[in-house]
Amino acid sequence: MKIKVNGKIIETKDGETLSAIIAEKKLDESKVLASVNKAIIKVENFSKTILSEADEVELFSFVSGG
Amino acid sequence: MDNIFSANPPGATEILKGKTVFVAGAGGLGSNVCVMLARAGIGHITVIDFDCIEASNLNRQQYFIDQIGTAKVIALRENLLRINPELNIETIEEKLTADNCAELVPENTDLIFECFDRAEAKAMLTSFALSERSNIPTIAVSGVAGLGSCKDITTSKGPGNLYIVGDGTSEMNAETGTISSRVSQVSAIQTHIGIRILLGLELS
Repeated sequence: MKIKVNGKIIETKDGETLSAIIAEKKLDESKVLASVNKAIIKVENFSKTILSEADEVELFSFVSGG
Repeated sequence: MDNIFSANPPGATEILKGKTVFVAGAGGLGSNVCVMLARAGIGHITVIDFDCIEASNLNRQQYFIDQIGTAKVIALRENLLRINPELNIETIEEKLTADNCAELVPENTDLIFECFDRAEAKAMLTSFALSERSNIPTIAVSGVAGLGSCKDITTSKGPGNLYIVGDGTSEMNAETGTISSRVSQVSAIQTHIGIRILLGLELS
């Protein structure tokens, strides 16, 4: 199925989880702010969030410092 | 007492005096944000940090050598009240976590400043704020370490009511270090965005 991740259309397998998308991008889940179709997803729900065709995922990975 | 805000842009002081902000973290970002807000005439600051001042903090944080060992929020209150004794400052000497955000992050604050050190805490707070405090603008930081150019510091808008300031990549560690001018640049941008939002100059 096709989904959008940070504005780019990508091909991914049907029923893919948000966790898998984050892992594919080699990001650390605990440092990621994620939304699917503009709804913020809590980190404990990343692995339970199943994506659908045309979903729009926005991921922001924070770096330490401050 | 002379009016310490008489040099402020006309009309700004009256508005800022009636505003309340929440500053999460009183380190490099938070202490600088608080000092700038105090000097601008903000009415009320709630600041949370569990840490104490160490010597190595002084290269970028708004503390002094005689305050080493003191809790950051206590020293910060002292410093801010020396700028404006009429500032309402509430200090919380605790670690903000996913479990206590709902209790400690006020529902009636006008702005949330994410001024944490750890990336995990940044993600935690922004996720909480955008879900449970979605009407309140949150101004966060990612990427403030090292000696990169001023031009590399950008501001992006996240999902919802979120601003993220920084270069997005410079992680703070022993290799990168952190310098006062860059931390000040980023915290000033955070503060300025916040002040402009409070004055109705920034579409939030």
